[in-house]
Amino acid sequence: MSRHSHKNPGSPGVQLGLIITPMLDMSFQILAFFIMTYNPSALEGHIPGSLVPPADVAKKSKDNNNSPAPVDPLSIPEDQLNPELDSAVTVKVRAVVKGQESEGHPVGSVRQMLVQTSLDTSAEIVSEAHHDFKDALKLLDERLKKMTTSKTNLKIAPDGDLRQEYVMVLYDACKNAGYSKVHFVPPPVLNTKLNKK
Amino acid sequence: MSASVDSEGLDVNLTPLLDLVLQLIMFFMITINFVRVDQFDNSINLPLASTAVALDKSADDWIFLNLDGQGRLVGTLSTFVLDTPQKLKVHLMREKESLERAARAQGKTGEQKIVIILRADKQCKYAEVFTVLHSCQLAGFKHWQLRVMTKSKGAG
Repeated sequence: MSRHSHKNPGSPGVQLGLIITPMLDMSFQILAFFIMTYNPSALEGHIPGSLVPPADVAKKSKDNNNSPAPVDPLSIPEDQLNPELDSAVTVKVRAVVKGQESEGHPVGSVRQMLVQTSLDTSAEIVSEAHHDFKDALKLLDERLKKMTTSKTNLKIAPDGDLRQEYVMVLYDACKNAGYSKVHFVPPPVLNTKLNKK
Repeated sequence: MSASVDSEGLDVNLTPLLDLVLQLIMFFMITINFVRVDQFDNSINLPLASTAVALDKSADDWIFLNLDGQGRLVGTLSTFVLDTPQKLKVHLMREKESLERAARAQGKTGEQKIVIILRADKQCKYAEVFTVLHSCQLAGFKHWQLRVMTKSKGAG
C-alpha cells in the first residue's frame, strides 16, 4: 500500500513520504513476539553453600590421625566436625508435628527454639510453643545479640519436619543478629538414618 | 493521534504511533530474559529471605533442581524416576560426567565448577532439602546454592 505525500499546512505532524506499512507490520509482529515471550526476571537471590567432600571432612576432623576416613560425611558425629565450628553457637529448632498443631502453629512451624553456646554447654530454651513466631524471633534476636562469643559462626539445627520457609526466616534472623557464617546442620532424622546404614 | 482532512480524504499521522511502538520494542529487547525451562518452574513457591545475595555467575555450569512442596523433584527431572536418594545420586553423577565431557570437548581444562541450584518450595520439609543435598554431595558436587525470593529488609 502506498501513501500519498502532500503538504498540508494545517497538519502539525511530519508527513512521511515513505511506504511505512511493511515497517509497521514488522514492528507490530516484533512487538507481539516480545510481549508474548516477556518474562520479567524473578527477584531471586541465593544462599551459597559448599558440600565438603568426605576426604576434606576427614582432614578437618579433630582425630584425623586415629579415625579412618568416614564413608559418609553427614554421619560424622558433631564433635568430630571442623574444630572451627565447635565454638559456634547452635540454634536448635523443634517443629510442630501432627497432633501438636494449634491455631497459629500449623504442622511444620516452629514449636520451640533453643540456643547452645558451645558443645560443652547445655541448650537454653529461648521460645516455647505458646510464643507467637514473631515474638519468638524477637526473643532469639535478643538472645543472639547478647552472646559474648565472637560473632562469626552459627549453626542452625532444625528438625527435619520444619518447613523451608521457617528455616529461611531463621537464617535471616541469624544473619541480621550479626553472624556472618551461618551453617546448616543435617536434621536429626536424616543423621539417624545415615548412621544406621 | 492527529488527522488531517482534505479533498483527498483522511490522512492519519502515524509518527507518534511508530515512536511508541519502537520504544516498546526497545524496552522489551532490553528486558528480555531468555532462560532455560528448568530455571523458573512457576509451580515452586520459593521462601523469602532478605539476606540472600545476588546470583553468582562465576560457575562454569549449573544444574537446577526443583523441589515441590511434597519434596518431589519436578520440572525437567520429573520425567525420570528419581524417588530415592540413590537414584538421584546416580542421575547427578551422569549429569556431572556429561557436563565435564562437554567442557573438555570445548577445550576447557581443569576442574569445572558445577553448581547445584536447589529451588526448594517453601512448604517442603528441611529433611527433604537435606536429602537432596546429601545426594549431590555423594555425587561429587562441591557447591550448591539455595534459591530464595529476595525481599527488602524493610518489607514484610
